[in-house]
Amino acid sequence: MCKKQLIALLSGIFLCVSVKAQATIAVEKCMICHGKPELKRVDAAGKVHYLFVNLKVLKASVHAKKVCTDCHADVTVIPHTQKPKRVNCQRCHYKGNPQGAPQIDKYMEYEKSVHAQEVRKGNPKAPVCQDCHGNHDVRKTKDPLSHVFKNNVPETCGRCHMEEYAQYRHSIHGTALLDKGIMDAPSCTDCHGEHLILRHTNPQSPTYATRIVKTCAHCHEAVNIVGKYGINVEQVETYERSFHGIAVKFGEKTVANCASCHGVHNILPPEDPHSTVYIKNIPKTCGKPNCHPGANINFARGKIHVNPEKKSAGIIYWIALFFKILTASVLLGLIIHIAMDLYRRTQEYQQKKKEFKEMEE
Amino acid sequence: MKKIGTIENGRVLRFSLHMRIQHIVLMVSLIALAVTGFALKYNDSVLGRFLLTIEGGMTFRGMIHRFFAVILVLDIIYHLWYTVFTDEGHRELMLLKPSRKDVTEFFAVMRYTLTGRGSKPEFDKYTYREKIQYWGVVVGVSIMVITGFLLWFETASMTVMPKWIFDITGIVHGAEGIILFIILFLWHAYNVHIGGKQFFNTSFISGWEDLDYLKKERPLEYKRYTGGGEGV
Repeated sequence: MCKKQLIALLSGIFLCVSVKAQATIAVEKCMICHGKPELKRVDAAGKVHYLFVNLKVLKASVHAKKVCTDCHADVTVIPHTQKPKRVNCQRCHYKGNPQGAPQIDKYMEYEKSVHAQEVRKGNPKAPVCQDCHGNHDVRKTKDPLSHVFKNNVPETCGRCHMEEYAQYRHSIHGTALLDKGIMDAPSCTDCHGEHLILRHTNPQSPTYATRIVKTCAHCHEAVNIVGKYGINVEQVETYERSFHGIAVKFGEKTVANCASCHGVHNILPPEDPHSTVYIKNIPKTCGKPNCHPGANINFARGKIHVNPEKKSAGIIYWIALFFKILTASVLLGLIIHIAMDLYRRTQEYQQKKKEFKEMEE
Repeated sequence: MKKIGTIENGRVLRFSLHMRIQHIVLMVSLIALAVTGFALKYNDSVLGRFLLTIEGGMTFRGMIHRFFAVILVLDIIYHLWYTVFTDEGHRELMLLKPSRKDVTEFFAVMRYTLTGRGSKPEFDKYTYREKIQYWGVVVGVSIMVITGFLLWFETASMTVMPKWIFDITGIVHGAEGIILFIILFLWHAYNVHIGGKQFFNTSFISGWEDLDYLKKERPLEYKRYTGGGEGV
């Protein structure tokens, strides 16, 4: 018994060590070729693929202790005969995995995203995990060197979404985050979501016409976020009280939401001549073919985000106040008038009842 | 068509068919306009949300509102034709002319209702109350129609007037609507249907009124119909 157990244990250890040894060798074996900076392959289309792997980068990543074949599992013989397939992160990143690879439900939201939809459709350009998170250089999200660290997200997304990146980079949000280092300023994912990115035409998307207000309001209504930088937090409320805001609240898609006037990736403060809400650009912004064609500079004469309950609204405040007083006085006057009439009628009724009783007697 | 003042079976025709049609169209359109207007104005309250739901959402609410706005305008055109080009309409309008008598009537009524002394003044067909209501509606509806059309054709109106005037237009339209509602649905409805002879006076539909009641409430009008004499 005891002998058998010992043999089993020893053979187990031996197996482990030999597998381990084999794998460790694998890294070095891989490096024989992939450790050469000049290693490259030219495909049929004439495109050059650089195949150098910097081991230092891998060692600095979260996968420092992993070996090549942990991810490139389809490579079984070296040199490999075929081009290895794309790495599938879910080999390790599934719930309850023994390696302790982080996995939360949020990652799975990717499956519903527009990116995953495109991957399923067979779009070769659609991103999977490693396209955003990096391949050999995967780092923790909070690591400033991570591809998905807040400051690096615009560039990561911009590798594919170049035009959007260019617009965002010069917008108030882009300059605030990337030039001034204001971490409260939004990166791509703050508006579009992270794993669950959807098309803006999808009603579930935070950038959908009727949901964008809530998305912008997340910061623009918050005193502790934009309030810190002296940005007016009243704009959301005044918008919601306007006809545009009420219509959006009840599901109208054809009225103006925040982005209709302020732009999307190219948002700039109204003082900037390139801004869509710069006073001279207002006629063009309001006068879009589906909105108010023929709009002129009159559209800019007066406050756009106006709160009739505040003195800063000027004459609008005073007229609103006048009507409030007028309505209250009309209401009060009529109630008094009616109450007086009712009083007299009850008096008359009592009088008649009394007379009737006297007559009966 | 029977003339105003026709007496049959102890009843007298007070409102001609012209007047009844105008009144019912006005009533229906103003109720519809008020209900669809409130849905927008009080959209953040339970009542407003409920109204919006039964009105089929924002787009349909707007369509109903503008449909009845057109009905109201047609009714106004009818009314203008009636008061200007018909003898009957002209006579009724002249009865609604504000006069010094209205002031004395008002004070007499106040004295009577507060102290019970004296007596009710001898009213004609339209007392100071009806005159205030009529002219109140004339002024109010005019404001509503003007501001309403400015808001309806917002792009055209904003190209000729600055945005801040447009904002004021919206505020006036909303506030004036409330005032009109108060005058009509609180005061006018009280006077006719609660403060009158019975709950829900049907005279606005039939046009007829009991002579006995008229003799007591509108002695001058009664005298005009009966030629000053008693019992016809």
